[in-house]
Amino acid sequence: MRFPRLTALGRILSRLARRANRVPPRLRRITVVALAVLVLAAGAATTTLDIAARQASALDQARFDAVAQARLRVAQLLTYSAATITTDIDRARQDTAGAFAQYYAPFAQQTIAPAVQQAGTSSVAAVTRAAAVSVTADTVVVIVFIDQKTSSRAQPQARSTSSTAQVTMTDVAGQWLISALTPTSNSPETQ
Amino acid sequence: MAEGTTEELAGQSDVDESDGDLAADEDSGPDGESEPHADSEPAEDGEPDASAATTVRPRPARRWLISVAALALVFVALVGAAVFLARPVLAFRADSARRAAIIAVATDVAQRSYSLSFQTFPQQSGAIIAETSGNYRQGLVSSERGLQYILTQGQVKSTCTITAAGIERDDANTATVLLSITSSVTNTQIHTPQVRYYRVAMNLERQGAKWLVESNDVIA
Repeated sequence: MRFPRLTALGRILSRLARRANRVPPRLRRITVVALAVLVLAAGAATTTLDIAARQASALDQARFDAVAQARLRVAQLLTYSAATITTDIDRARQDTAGAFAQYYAPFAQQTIAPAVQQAGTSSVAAVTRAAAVSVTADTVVVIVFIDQKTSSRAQPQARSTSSTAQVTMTDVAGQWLISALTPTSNSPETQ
Repeated sequence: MAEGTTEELAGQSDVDESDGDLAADEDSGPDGESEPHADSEPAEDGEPDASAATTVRPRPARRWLISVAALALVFVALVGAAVFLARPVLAFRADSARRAAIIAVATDVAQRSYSLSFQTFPQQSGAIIAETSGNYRQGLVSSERGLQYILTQGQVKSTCTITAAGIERDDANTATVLLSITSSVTNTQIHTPQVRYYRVAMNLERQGAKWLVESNDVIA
């Protein structure tokens, strides 16, 4: 006797099956097609939302990482001394990318380095505040407030300057590098 | 037998549901001969059941039910996943809209605050005060007449350009905006426009649907 072997689920299914037998074939086909359409629509919506969620997460992460890297790299770029200018420029070159890197390296080696060595200049820069101006997945524009102290053989007492710059950070192989740096203000020097 | 005919027969035979469970599970069930059950056993005489080859094939109604159940399950799972994924997307859009509103108010107040004219100051101050709150608002209200006097005496005119503005931090109710401002000033002493640079930090707070500036500080 097979009845004892039926599970409770089997009995329910059997009952449902018998009731389903009453459903006209046309209605069955319509039901399946309608459900299939709903599944496809839900699949498309879920895929779209998944992509949008990933993009949103990537943008949030880009904002956070790029601002943090801008603070660090802008300070590195503007910090140097006569004794270590060659290594300072090499280090700063690692902070730059794109057209800015192509401009910065020769300019730093040919113009900044001789001037710094001749005058015995040293500069210590700090980015005191930073904020994202615009964000895309691979480019973030950041406004930075820079405080810089500069001294030289002729002016041994450090002079402080405060300035503002707009920095474009570009994602290069997972690293946010400076691809543009535009000073937007420069205060008079204060001692 | 054609499917429709089988189903019609099945429908007709399904008279008593309480008793029908057992009857429906018998091979001689209402569908008749063509569709044995999946749980059919081999024939008693040890010969392979001729119907065994077809035992795995469910009845049309069961097949339909299984299809419907499977599709419904997938649909529910997809809707659940969509709801789960929609939350961060909606939150991101809300954040973007909030940041746009914050920047709009901050740049508007900055534009008005650093583009002053002794001739239009009464109108300007009213617009600035309308977008401020707290102590900053109180300070503006209390110093409005004094500032008007100073501007008029000095024939002060200034125009500004906001060169950059970004949100340093924000949450649902508060925000800090950094601005870089270039201002060009003339007065009774300075006839040729003098360029001045300002770096400004503004704190904003949300009051209802509006964002208001609660501090406007020039950072030295």
